[in-house]
Amino acid sequence: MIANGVSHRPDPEQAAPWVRTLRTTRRWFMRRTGLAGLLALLFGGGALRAAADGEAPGALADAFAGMFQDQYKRMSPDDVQAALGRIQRNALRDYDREIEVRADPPKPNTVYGYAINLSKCKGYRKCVDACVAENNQSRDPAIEYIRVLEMDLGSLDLHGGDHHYNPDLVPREGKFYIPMQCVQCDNPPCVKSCPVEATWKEPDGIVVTDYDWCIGCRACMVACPYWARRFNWNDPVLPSDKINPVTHILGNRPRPKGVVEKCTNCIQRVRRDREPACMEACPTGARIFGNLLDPESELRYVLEHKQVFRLKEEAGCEPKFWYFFD
Amino acid sequence: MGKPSPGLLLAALLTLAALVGIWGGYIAHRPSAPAGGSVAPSADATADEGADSQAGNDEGDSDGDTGADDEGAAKAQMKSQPPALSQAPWDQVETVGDEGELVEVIYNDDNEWEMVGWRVKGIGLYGAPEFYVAARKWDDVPLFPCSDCHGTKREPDPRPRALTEDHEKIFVKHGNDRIWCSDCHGGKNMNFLVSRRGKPVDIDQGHVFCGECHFAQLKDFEFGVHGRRIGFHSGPRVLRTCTECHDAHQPQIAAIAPDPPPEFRENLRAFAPMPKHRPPVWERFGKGTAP
Repeated sequence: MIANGVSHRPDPEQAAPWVRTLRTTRRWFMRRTGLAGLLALLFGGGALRAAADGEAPGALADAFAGMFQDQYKRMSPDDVQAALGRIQRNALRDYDREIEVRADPPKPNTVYGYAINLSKCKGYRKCVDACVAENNQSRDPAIEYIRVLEMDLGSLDLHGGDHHYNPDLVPREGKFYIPMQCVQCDNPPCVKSCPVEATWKEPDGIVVTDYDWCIGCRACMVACPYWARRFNWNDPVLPSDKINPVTHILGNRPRPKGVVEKCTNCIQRVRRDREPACMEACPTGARIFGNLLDPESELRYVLEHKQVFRLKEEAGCEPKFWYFFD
Repeated sequence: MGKPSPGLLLAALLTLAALVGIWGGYIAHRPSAPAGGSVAPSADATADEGADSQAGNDEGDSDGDTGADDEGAAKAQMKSQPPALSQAPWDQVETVGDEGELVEVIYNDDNEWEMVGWRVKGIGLYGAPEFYVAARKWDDVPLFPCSDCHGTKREPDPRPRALTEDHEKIFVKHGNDRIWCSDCHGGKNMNFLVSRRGKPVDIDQGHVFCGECHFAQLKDFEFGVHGRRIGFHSGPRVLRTCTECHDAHQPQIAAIAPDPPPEFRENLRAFAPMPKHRPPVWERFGKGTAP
């Protein structure tokens, strides 16, 4: 440290002899780091060679290769395949369960949207349960993507809504229910706020997160006006028999501690034309999901024939998530 | 006034050349640029106008033809529109045979194709895209076919009464006590519903029957807004029929217990409830009691 042109570093020549032996000069640090790097290369090279010989790489090799994994959008197809294999092996190690991880690409001419009929939603929370089961969310601490707000009739004040409601029977008199989840903004503030570009909008409109690239700064959680993002404060607790083995690398694959996650419209399902889990579970038929670019889709019929609105439109995020009463 | 310097002259020339270049580029690349670029656009335009007016004057017949074509297009468009309610679309409903057209419903569950039931092609009355209905009369309707008893062993009794034998669990609470069994089931063949106009309607096409009164819901149902779709968000539409969710005999849906609420994170607790506004003046000082 040099201030006013005077070095405050103690002169090594004047220090005690035992300090002189332990002194941390830059040269010493570089030499030690280089040595450690060489050792790591030797280890890692051995592990990678083992993989090339047909043996499954061990935990050390996977950890080493994962350290050098690039951001998802910059990965080559081979890199993606290697990452899928690593995720599967890690799931087997951590949860003792064989899972299938896919990397389905977005479909052409597709932008997904969502609509909810608030006249039909009764606050059963079936969507919440289905979401947790489908998306391999941590059970302890419990992470839930969907938040169902119980609101007073005649008010759309979201801060007055209660998502811890627990009456004996729903729906209650004088109340209505608004399910909230990630609205998949067309102009997503979470993407703008991410300092490392670990989250982005896919061509089919789904905002996804690269869990291996996320640094856990939680800037996106602050930026999101819809309270849609969740943080893994601890190592996710996920019983082996509760794991959904059909996963997507940007969706419901098991997540590590210290990363942010959120609803992806069940990317592992909708990219294979299936309905999102919340829609399939809803017993009232309040949820309507579809392709905004398909003029025959049910979603387009809703947008053209019902009085739809969006939450917090003034934030300018252009959510692809509409609500309506009928 | 002094003689302009050669440098100034050069700069002026260059500026002029640049302006001409920009103008030429604009002319060549503007959206409606003719193929010739900047070659005499005004002359082309006048020639086109003249030709147009001449054609308009001379060829009156062709104008008439195009008008007829327009009318035909308009008619075709009207045909593609859904029929108006006043045209009584119910009359178009034909009987669908007992066997129906059964088609397998298969969908991809966990990357495996499996058969989960049957579907029949749905009858649509409002011009909605093609859809199927999940058939349920053979699997889910108890005691179907009804003709096993009715028509052979005993005649239907049209009098309102407490039902017995086999039907003792059916309580008709539909339409404020104005509806009794024979209003919907009846006619010559008890395997069919009977419409308001006396036509038999297949039970698997029950939405057409329900829609005779609940027409707004029927329209939404056909377009996929009311009701639930099975499996896929795109591709063939397979809809759950009305009676999978609504009990036709007691259509009121009872309140149920919700699933458990979200847990609080450690060391956190619920927000204090938001303060409510005071009741409005007319409630505080009026006759009625404030809530």
